[in-house]
Amino acid sequence: MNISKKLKNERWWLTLLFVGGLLLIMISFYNTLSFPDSGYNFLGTSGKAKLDSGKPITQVFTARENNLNQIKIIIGNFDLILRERIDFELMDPSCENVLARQSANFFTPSPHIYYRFNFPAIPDSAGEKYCFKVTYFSPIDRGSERPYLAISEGEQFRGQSYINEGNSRVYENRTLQMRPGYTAGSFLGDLGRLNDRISQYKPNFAKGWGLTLLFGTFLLGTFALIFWIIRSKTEE
Amino acid sequence: MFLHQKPALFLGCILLLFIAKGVIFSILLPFFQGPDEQTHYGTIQYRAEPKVKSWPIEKRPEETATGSNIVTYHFSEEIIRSGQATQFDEVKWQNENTQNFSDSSFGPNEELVIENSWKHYIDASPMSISGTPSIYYSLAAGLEKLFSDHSVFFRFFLMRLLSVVLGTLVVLLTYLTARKTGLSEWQSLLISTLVAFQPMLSATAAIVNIDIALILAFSLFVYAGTALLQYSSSASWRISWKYLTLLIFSIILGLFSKGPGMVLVIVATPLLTYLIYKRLNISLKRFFSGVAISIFALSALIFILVPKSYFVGITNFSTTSKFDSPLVSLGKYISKTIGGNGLSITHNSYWGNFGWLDTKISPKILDVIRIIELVALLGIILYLISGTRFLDYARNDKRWITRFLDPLRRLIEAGRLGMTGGKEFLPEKKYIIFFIGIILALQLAIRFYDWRVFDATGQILIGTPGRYFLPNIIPHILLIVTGLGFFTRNKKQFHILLKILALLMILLSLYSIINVIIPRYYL
Repeated sequence: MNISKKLKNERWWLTLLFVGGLLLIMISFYNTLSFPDSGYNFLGTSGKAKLDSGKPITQVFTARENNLNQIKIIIGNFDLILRERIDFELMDPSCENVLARQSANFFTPSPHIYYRFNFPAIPDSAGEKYCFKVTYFSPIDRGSERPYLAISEGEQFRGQSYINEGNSRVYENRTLQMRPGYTAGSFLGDLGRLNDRISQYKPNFAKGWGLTLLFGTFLLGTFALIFWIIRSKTEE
Repeated sequence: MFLHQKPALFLGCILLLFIAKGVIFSILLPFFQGPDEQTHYGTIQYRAEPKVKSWPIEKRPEETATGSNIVTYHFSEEIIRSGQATQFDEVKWQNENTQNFSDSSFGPNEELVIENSWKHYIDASPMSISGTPSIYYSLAAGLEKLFSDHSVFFRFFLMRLLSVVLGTLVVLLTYLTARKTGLSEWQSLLISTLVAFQPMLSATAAIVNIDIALILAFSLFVYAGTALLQYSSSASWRISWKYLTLLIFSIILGLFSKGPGMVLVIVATPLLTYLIYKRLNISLKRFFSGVAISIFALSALIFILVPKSYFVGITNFSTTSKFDSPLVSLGKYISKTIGGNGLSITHNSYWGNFGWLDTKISPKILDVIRIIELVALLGIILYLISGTRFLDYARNDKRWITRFLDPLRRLIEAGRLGMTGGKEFLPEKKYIIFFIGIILALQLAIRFYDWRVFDATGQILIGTPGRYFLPNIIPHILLIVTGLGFFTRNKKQFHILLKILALLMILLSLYSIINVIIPRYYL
């Protein structure tokens, strides 16, 4: 069957529609699949660290686990215009050597709560210090509408600090609202860890294998339903 | 295709999938992270208590409860301590925060909660519970008593599963209602799929709340009303009585579910009036005389039987307004809830804003939904005026007012849009008018009550979150498919349209689970 004939058959483009949508969902999920530090929350006083063009904000943090592969960060006013970009860099503790870099621009979708800076997992990251650097570049001055990083201060963040080169200040006992994330090393390992997290504070029937079985049944059933919807004869 | 030959089996599959999805939603939303779940569960625990209390009740100041600290509420010790152990206050409303996770399938404080000896009853007065006499509370209180020796997680998730069961009945009623409007088995199955995978219905049918009972009552009412309309001119009295009984039962269920159940009484009046008119086959003049007398008699009866405090309660007319005049108050209310992004907030939480309304689907997806709904609205308007005398007016009358309507006529008559043919494959207009009526009635009722509270307090305390409008999910979905269906040429195209919508809704549901809820709470 040639392509034009296939397109005339609605089954083909319905399949295309579903597979395309599912792929987008799975790619997005794969990009978020990292397990951030959950030992602290951003309570108490919060604020904004406005980003000035070409002037980075940096914070040194300590990784708690091996396989550091993501940093989640809250960014406000993320609606970047053309020719604007935000660079995210993971560096050594002296903030000199770049270990990983990622850029967000006009085409980057707005983040769902946190922006996720992904990079290849660092195997022996536990206990090591890293520098996280965010730099905003813009050809225009957006004034108070320019992007900002959310920050928190309070007793629980004692000893932490970040540097804003926009106003050349060191902010002691404060932190950017960021969470380093870790991978289990493999996709299946990550799914297992996700299963563990979802199982917590749930009744026994919803834990571990019970949960896996439930998810599996739902997904298989949904795919069967979709198969039927696509394959079923259209009424005339 | 085995399933294709067995619609009933296929419907069973959709219902089972809805249950599986409901259980997944109920597991994904952390403990007490549905709106007001702690208060609903507190009410259930209170109702499960023995009538005669064998423990001392301490009188505490009334105004101590603050939204950010569960300890200040007068719940049972078990609810307060479990809420603290699961970081209820830290996670609620703050989508940058999550629970503290361990490396196993047991949370760091889980053992403490499971093996607790905390009090299951409230020993402080006044209790922080709901005063609504809902059937949901009664059913859940029965479960609470039955499983009182199980862990709080087990009991709490059992209440959530009760919501799933009620939600499943809504999906079943979708199929039955669609069939009554004249749609085929397969079209009705696809429409049931649309409702079954609407993400907010799935979420509302997976948390401890009384809205789901109201959604069921409205769904039953819509089904019975549609069936009565179907048989309005032809069926035997026996069939009518069956659905009339169901209609009355749905109204009672609505009244004992949540305040807006009163809307069903209001909608039933014109519906029954129309049905009586069709049945009696009398002149319009005689009929309206009878209606006027009936309304007068009914009003008098309600005035005598229903306590005045009830009307004062639902209208807030005894309170002093914070504004100079009702018009000023109404204007400010409209600018806050409909103007600006007020409607957008409601729209968002109708389609996908989970948990404590802090877990939203993407605004871009919402824009696509909005466009689909606007096209459907245009289709509904065109469908309603197509084939009416309006078209003749628009064609022949040259006065300025009808000139404005001419483009609509042209649009309806535009052959290239495929709208010249009959639309026999769409539900009849009488159903469409009924659906629009019940949607408008609920909208007006909720906004009226919300405005009255705003008038008395100067604040939006109740609000209009989307789930308040979910009771009309069946008429809403049927209106959307009918409106879009107006732009299709024939039954085949309409069927393909339903397939596309069903696929998109399933994708929206998967997206909500995989890309929105899981990352918010667990990643």
